[in-house]
Amino acid sequence: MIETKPGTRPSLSRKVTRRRFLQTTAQAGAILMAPTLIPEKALGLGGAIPPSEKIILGGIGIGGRGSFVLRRMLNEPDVQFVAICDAQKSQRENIKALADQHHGNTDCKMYSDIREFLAERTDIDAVLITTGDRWHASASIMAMRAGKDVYSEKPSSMTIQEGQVVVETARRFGRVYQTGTQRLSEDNFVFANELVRLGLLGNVHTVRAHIAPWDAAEMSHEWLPAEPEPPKEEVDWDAWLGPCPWRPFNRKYIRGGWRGYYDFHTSCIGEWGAHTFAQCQVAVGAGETTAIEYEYVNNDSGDGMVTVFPNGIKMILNRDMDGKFWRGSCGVRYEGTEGWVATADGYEKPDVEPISLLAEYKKIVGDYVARTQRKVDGPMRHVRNFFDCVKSRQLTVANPVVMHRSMSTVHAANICMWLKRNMKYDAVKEEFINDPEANRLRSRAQREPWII
Amino acid sequence: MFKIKLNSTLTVLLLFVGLALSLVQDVVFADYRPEADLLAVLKSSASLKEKMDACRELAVTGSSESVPTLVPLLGDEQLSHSARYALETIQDPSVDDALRDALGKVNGRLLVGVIGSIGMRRDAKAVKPLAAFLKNEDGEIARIAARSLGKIGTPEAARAIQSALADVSEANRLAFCEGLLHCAEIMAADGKKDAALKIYDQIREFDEPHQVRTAGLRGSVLLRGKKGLPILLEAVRSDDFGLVQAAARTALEMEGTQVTKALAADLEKLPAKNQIIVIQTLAKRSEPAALPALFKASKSGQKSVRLAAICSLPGFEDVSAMPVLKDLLKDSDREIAEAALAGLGALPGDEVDKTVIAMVNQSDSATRCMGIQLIGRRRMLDQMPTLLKTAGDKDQAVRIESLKVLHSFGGEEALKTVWSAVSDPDKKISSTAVSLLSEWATVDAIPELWQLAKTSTDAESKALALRGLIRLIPQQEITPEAKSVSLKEAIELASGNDEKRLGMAALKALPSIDNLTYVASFLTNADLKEDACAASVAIGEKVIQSDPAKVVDIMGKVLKSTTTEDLVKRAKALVDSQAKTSER
Repeated sequence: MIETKPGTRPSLSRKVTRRRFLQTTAQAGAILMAPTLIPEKALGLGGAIPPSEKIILGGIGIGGRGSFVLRRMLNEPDVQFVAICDAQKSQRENIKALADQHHGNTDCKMYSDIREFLAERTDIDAVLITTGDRWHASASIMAMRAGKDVYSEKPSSMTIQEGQVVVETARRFGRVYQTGTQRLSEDNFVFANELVRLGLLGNVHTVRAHIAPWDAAEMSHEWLPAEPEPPKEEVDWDAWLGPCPWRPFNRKYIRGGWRGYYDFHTSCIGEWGAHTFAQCQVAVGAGETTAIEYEYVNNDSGDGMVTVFPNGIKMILNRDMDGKFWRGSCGVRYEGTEGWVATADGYEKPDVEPISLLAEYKKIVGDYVARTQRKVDGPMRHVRNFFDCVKSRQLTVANPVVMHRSMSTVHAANICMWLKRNMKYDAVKEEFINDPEANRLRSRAQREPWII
Repeated sequence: MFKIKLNSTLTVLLLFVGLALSLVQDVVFADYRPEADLLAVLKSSASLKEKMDACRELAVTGSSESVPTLVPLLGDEQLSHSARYALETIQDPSVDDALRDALGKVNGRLLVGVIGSIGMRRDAKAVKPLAAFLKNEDGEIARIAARSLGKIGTPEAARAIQSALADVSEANRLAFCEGLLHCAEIMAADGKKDAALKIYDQIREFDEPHQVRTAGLRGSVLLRGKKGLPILLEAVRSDDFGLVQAAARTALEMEGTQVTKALAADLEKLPAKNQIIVIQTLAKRSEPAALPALFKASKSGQKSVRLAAICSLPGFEDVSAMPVLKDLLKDSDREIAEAALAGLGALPGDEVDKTVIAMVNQSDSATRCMGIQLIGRRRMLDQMPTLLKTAGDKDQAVRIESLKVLHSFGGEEALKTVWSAVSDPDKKISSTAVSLLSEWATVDAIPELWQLAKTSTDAESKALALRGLIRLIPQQEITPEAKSVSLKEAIELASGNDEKRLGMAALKALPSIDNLTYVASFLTNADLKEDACAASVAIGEKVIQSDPAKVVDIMGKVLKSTTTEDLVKRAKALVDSQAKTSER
């Protein structure tokens, strides 16, 4: 574990920073395709529909990434954003300004307490949750209890137990839930997954999942130096911390500097594994289970860790610093007896062997759209899939089970790295086999009163 | 023999080492400190941070030995959560005893924490003391008590919540109902089905909150299995759309063809809005038993319902949908016909392919055109000979569809046919062919595009050819110099500024001093100067090291020409960078 003596800094792997990496990574591109869906207008989905059938949307904890997603949501004609709840005044005001400007009114109400927000706004159908990782599951569970459908940014949980409660709550109350793993709704990634499903790569034996090339699997337990706590109206520090252990206020945390801390983050494995593990698991038919074997690797990131799904297919975690397996962020690669496919952000089309499979790109993606009735012709079609499911009550593509199971693989891989030993996991009982210490890391007691 | 003996020895040795390592692994907790050391920290005057760190480690390694040290911290405002953090994961009954004991000793927020931890540990002995908190004046305490009782989930816990439910406040109602629902789930899993059903049936009769009422419906239906179908159908028929949605979602969790059959049988009796949601549910279930009802729904009725039914059909991957979709191709409503065409395009099966070929061989022009479109949608590459033939058909519409599909298939034969159509006397055929040629996906079309660009007397055809060239030239596997020469040739051939702009934009990706000089030659062209500036700056930034003086000279001209703020900034930066180099 990381040195915990006060005043010392953890030796985390920060040679490549998240910001620097993202700056040098190509942006996602997508091929526009002719949809073969039910015309949205005819179904009342995504088209010009009466205001009475609009989805009333609220937001919880919306900062930079959240604003990006919210703007996409506001572009949907059947969405009306009416309220923002945030522990930070500046973010509340930013989002109110954004929403009011979009709707041409001053109706967006601001809340600082999630409990008050959920209890009062019974008119809200769905919420966008883009807090830091520490709040994703708790806010989702609280919102679903209150009868809201939920679009939550990834990762969907901080622990295996949190993920279980998200699944349980969504089922219990029949809520629609989608995690912001938007690559599940992007055509180049969908094409790669379809190649596996259709058997066009032969028997797939190995998949590779990109983990973030910054930070480490081991995270910091240090505290930043204490600063005077701002007035509660400006920053409600207690609410910001939520279920996490208390620590003294420091402005860096609320400005995005919470990554890399054990209490707030899911490590370099969760940072991108939340996306790429889900991609891989869905691709190989392991979306509703969890990897059962984890091979410890003696490095600081988990790079090269081999995990095995119940169907025998291996998933290898790769940082891929030299671009051996893909070019760009959040890459995946599927290897079969008759070929392979690799893709990542910024790909117009995946790299494929045999290359002749690319000729079938349009057909394969088009058939997926026709079969699933999900559009995949843009990076944020994921948002539309959520709203369509809010109306149809169907399961989203990044539904609670898929997200819990892929995040369980993330959590288990982290635990393997933290305990520095190989592990076996019973995916049915959702527990490590003969490893009580690992099992105790499946949950963390939540801080009162933010207990789910 | 010796070799074998050595290998056997080595194997035994390795097995021994492996066994030893595995034994060590069983007791080594990575970098965790020994329990005794951690407890010593807690008993000392160490800082808050050090004590919190000790508790976090004890959450992984602590035993019953830690309990006496941790329990007093439950009442400590600063360390209560840390104490629970450690205690919650210690599998020893002394923890439960201690937490129960703490119920009478802590208050307010700390009490919320202790009740929450009891719930997490599912301590059945705590039902009675927790029940006492259900009527607590502090809503936070009453709510966490109800939820914790739900997690415990015994019949006693359920009874406690039920008896308090009658006069629960509005603010606490949801938490109490959730506790009850949780009890029902656990009791059902424990085989206490009747008691669980009573809870669900009670809850689904509630008016509010809606999510609780629908959760009751879900539980009532799922737990009854087949016998729950009448309840499900009653909800599907409801005027209350929330119930309809809940029923649809519940149906997704139910197994068995009976469910599909029952929903399908009810389909046509439902209001349109309900029909759509049931159709989508049937599609997700994908059982063939739904198909007759979906075929019927696709043929007549409200358009939105018909569309939903048609679009659901490919997902079944059942060839029996083919004749239905084929008939719908003739529908007078364009959207219906288009949906059917899309459905046939995605429906797998050799029989569908045969039908498509038969469509092409019919006499009716519209049917033939749809057949050809389907060859394209289904990517029936083996039908290339058919397409080459129909591309020369007498029927203009058939020819155009054939050329389009040939274009999407690509290849030498397809290119030859489309190129031949460029000089067709039929102007519509000719213009379609030019357009398709200019959008050709591969570099094979470059010779034809050059010919068209150089010989065509039609300005639009020439412009399209040049656009195709400017797009394809960079894709060739030739040297950057050769690409540059070709692009410049295309720019010189262009009579329109749009093509020149595209050409300059393409040259940006081929940075060289020659190309910089070339694009800078357009700085004096009033219409193209901004594009020339953009290209000059982009190239200049990449080639500054190879000829700084030349780049600085051209940037000087850019600064005189451009009004774009970003370009001014970047051009100045290039000039300044060289000025600084000279100063050094």
